[in-house]
Amino acid sequence: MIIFFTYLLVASSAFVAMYYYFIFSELEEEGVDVPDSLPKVSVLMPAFNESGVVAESLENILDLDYPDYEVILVNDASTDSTLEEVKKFEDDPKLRVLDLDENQGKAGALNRGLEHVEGRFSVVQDADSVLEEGTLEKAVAMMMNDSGLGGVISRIQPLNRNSFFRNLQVTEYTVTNFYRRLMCSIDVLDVTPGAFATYRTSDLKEIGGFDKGNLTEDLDVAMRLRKEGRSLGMVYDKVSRTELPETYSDLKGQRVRWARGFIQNARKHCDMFFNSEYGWFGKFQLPLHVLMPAVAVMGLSLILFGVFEGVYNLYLHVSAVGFSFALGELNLMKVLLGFQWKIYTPLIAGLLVTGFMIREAYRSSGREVSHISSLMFYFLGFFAVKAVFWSTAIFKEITRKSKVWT
Amino acid sequence: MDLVKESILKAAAVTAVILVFGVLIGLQVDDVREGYVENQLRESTLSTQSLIVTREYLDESSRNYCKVVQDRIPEISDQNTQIGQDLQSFAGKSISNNEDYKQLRREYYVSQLRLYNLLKDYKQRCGEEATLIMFFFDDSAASTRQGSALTKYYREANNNSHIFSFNLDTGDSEVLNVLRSDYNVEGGPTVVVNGNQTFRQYNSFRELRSSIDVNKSVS
Repeated sequence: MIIFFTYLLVASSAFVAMYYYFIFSELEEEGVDVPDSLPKVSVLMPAFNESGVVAESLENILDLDYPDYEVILVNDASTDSTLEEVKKFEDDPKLRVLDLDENQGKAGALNRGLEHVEGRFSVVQDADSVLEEGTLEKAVAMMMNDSGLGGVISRIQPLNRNSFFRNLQVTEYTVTNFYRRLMCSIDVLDVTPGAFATYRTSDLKEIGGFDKGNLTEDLDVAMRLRKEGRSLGMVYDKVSRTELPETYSDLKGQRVRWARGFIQNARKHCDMFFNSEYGWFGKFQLPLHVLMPAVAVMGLSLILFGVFEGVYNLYLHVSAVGFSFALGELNLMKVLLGFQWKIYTPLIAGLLVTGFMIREAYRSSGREVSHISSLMFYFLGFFAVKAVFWSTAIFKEITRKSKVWT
Repeated sequence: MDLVKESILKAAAVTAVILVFGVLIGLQVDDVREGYVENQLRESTLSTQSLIVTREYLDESSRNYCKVVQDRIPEISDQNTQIGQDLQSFAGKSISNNEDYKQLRREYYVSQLRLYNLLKDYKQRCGEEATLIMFFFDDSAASTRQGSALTKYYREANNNSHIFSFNLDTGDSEVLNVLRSDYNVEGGPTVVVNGNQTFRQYNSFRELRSSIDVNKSVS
């Protein structure tokens, strides 16, 4: 049974790796023509306890070259010095500050901001993110050129890289951006991240704004836009840099929230799964998004089972003879004969393709590999960490633990 | 055909090919494993047979026989232990050759008994104090622990003990059936020392060592 599950796991991982490889093999470079005249854009920036980072974000966003835009910062009843830091920029005519008396959550804060939007396009940007010059222009141009687009995102990269977990996320985001680009190329992208996403204001208002109380309102809004028949696009050559979790505990908090948000939205939009009305997005991509964490959780379970079995056998040995071990003669022939080749063959094939895709992700984003240890951990072990997050999220959803957004 | 459909089909086809390839390699490796054990078994059988023939050729009182056996025993005994371990490990990984492994195991048990008889005879003729241990095991935790204790004893005895392992969970073998009946083995772990001392439950390394030492001094 264990071998069967391992086989199933390895086979599905190899299949997913191959699937994305074949999408990549047909990928075409797409440029965006930016028109001379660009419409007004409203940047919505919800902020809850963002002291220390909000000033850098405002400085960046208020200094962009985009011809006509406003920034609506919604202070969501922060309890730290966020508002004081924001007030230092109040002289800038592009900035409007909405100070909420009661904490409304990110979606609620965005909805309050949406009520005051004047621009034809609305950009959602986290208060701990900074934009690369030209991102707004390209995102807006892309939407102007394609009336079917309901949202445009950019690449996301970490603002700081001062810890192992941040370096790990550099690799993760590099790869995630690359896969999002592939998903865009076949029109199955499913998320408009809070770090940077551009929408048509009319679309946002038509769908009733953001879902207050939703743990991942960015996923929800993308799903609802898809329900309206909109596609999602990506400006791959522009970057939004955002503050990422620094420690394992921060990362876990964020990812468990995301995973719970995914589960919540999967339930909310379950009618889209396997629904041909939404094309390959419904028929294939959404089920694939469920399969991947399931594979990770199953993989972690098998690893834990193996570790448990090993520890149990070690316990039996130690309880019998104490810490008495003898190293046998190393025989390469016997080592090779000892492998389960029916499992190792697809595993090696899947890892090779995944390794190739990671290399392409780095190459296409123009990044250099700077932290080999983080890269290797991402390649070989990060799935297990993510599986822990997913398992925690599933457990919390089942036991209905309270949900907190940050 | 649109790109997604094409990619799904291509990915499914390539994955299927890789899986089939993996199974084919697995089958091929199964054959190599089997051949490997067969070769080891053949070598071991040949070594044992050559000692038996030597015994028949040399005069009973000849000291040459004792010298020849004494020189060859450690190697044959190690080889015998190794074959048992390989059989146990490889049979669990086999995709298709269960019947072949059953056959190999039967041959192995025959080879074990032949070696056991040879060593018993050698003990008597040459007055050696070697300890011959038959170990009957199953997949219980107690059997695993007993295996560890015996392995440690084997290492510490420094060529003076010989362990003959028999897996009670495997299929029929005439040799195994005879031994089971002879020593009234009902389950694992059962340890039979020098044919006259039987332990029917787990015995720690110390208990085992002291019991065997007492047995030696009595005999």
